[in-house]
Amino acid sequence: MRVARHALISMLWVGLCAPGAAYDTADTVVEIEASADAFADGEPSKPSEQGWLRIAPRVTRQLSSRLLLTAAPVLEADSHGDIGRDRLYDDRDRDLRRAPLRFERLSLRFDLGPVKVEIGKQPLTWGRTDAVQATDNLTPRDWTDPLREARLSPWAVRFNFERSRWEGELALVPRYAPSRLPRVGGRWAPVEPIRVANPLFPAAGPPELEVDLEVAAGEFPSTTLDNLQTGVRFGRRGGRAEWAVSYYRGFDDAPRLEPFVGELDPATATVSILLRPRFAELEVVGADAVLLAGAWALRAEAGHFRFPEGLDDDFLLYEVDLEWTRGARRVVIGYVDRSGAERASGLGASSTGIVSGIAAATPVALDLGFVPAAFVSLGRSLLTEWEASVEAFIGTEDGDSLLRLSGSLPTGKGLRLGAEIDLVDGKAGSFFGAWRDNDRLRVFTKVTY
Amino acid sequence: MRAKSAVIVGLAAFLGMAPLTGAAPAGAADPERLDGRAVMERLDESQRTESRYAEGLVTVEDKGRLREKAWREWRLGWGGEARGLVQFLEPAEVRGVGLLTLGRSGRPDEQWFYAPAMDRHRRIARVEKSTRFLGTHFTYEDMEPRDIDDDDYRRLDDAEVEGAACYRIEARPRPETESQYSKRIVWIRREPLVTVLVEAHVDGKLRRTFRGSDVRTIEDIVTVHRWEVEDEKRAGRTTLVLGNVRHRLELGDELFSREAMRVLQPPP
Repeated sequence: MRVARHALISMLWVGLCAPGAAYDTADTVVEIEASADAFADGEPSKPSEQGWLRIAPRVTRQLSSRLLLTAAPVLEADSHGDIGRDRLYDDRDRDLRRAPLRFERLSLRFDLGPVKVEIGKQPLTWGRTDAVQATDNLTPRDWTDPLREARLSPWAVRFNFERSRWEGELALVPRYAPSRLPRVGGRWAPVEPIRVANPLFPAAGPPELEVDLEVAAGEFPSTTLDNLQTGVRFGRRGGRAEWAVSYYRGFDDAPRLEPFVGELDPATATVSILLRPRFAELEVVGADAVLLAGAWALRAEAGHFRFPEGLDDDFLLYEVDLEWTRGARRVVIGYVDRSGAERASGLGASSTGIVSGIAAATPVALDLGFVPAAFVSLGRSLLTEWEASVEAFIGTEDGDSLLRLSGSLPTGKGLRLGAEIDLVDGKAGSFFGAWRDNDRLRVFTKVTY
Repeated sequence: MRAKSAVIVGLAAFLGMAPLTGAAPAGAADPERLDGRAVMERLDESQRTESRYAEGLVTVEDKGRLREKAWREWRLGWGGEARGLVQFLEPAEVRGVGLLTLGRSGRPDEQWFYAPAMDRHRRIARVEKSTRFLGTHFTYEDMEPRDIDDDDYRRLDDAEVEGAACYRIEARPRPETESQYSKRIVWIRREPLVTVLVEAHVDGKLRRTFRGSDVRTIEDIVTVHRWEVEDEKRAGRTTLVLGNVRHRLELGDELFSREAMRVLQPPP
């Protein structure tokens, strides 16, 4: 498998770089974005300023009328250690930290008339709603910066069929990768000092021990035919409505962190607790639809989640969005909820930080942790012009919230300047409340050429 | 089969999804006796092709600034059932942005918008068609083909445009059809039969003026290669220059699919 993957990568790069092989000229767009964050807290353990640099070229090359190569690497660096520095590229996307280099797309696409086949690293996004996409289960999330979710494109084979009003898609993902959680001990997953009673006292050590918390490498599902992640989607579009149904069989991208008590060291008065990820088998039957009526669009998406191993009860995750558009202005009001099982855990959503939130080994899914919630989004967006938006997520159970104000302005020559303010609020123990000291101002500049 | 309107004031029209220009067919009736509808039908007949490709360069002048946008456009079919795909090339910020239009005769068109950054298609609500298209003086409606039966026509007094004799036709949307325009006045040069000026009115007031020039014949189809658009409610103007216009291409159905929008399509 490793040899085959490297052979595929080599083939893709040769195709992209080989002179004279192109059916048409290569097409390249490069986006460079630099951003700086300032936080309100200013605690010594959490630097109140940080910076990001992101370089994202996208190269496509038409090798023949029916064969297209695409490479979209993303090269990133930061000032504060969220981006790993141990190695340049993490092909498996399983490292606890995001590597400086990743690929949003590195694929070969065959055009077979009404059927398109794409092989390689690619995002597989089927969701139709804005906040939580219940039908997007093939592409894990990256919550390195949880307020700016990224997607981890898997290696996959995708077949797409489109004919008249019907559309179908089949995607196969041979290797599992979980969603990446924020760095434990970092800004978004703080670990507060925890002390527990020493069971060996007074025979050995002091009466209390300090907990040394560590996230272990998980035991990932093997890359076998039995573990092949499969998604299939089938839909129809009409004059005023579209719908699709989908089915996913594979593994939950949200890891379950199970705590294990390790060595007790009386000499240092510490006990180690190991958080070991576990990856549950998952089946999701999904449906999504949009209904258009004048300026209004009603979008809905739902997924019935079932865990064949019985690790969790079944539940239904659903979202309904009502969208109004007029010109460049867009307003969305939505509600997302789940029924049938307890909510997923957020990170750090407890007084002791990460530990109590995961003590029951519930799936750690930051896109579900704030459910049930309502959200509102008002914005003006017209490509190549100024943009502005206000977004608010409000947990309807705990009253916690995230308010985001953002805007940007093109200044010519492909340059865009912008700023974003994230205001996080909520009581201790709530999802957003755990981050309430992390109000953030972000300024960015982006150049595209 | 329904005939195609010649009174389209839109980008799609300029690019060939709707006929604005054309040569008069042989054996036509006395031009002096033609009514508005008959003029339009002649124009329609002369422009009918099953497919077309063109490249557009649009320059937006706004408050002393010049901004350029370039795209490729394909059209398959004719009339209310025509399908169109527009993909932007420049500026880099919008490279790969696409607009897919599937015409449905007698019903509102279906449109999808695609932006590579999102990697998702978005079905566009119909009301968006009255807004500006990507910062130009055109609107989304101007991108659409329009069926000849969507309007009622009245021939007005003939007039001249830059010394050339023109038919002058008033087109008003029929009550059952949707349009941001309450009426359009179209100047159609008599020889060759080609539209050179369109005034589009909203609520009885002039809103946009489209001026055509650089008329060339491409594969027997007379085509305006340069259009200037001015909006009464917005300063500046948008100029559209067409290039590499080709007709009667063999275009596959799959080019007009949502999946095809994900890839920047090469020229035919």
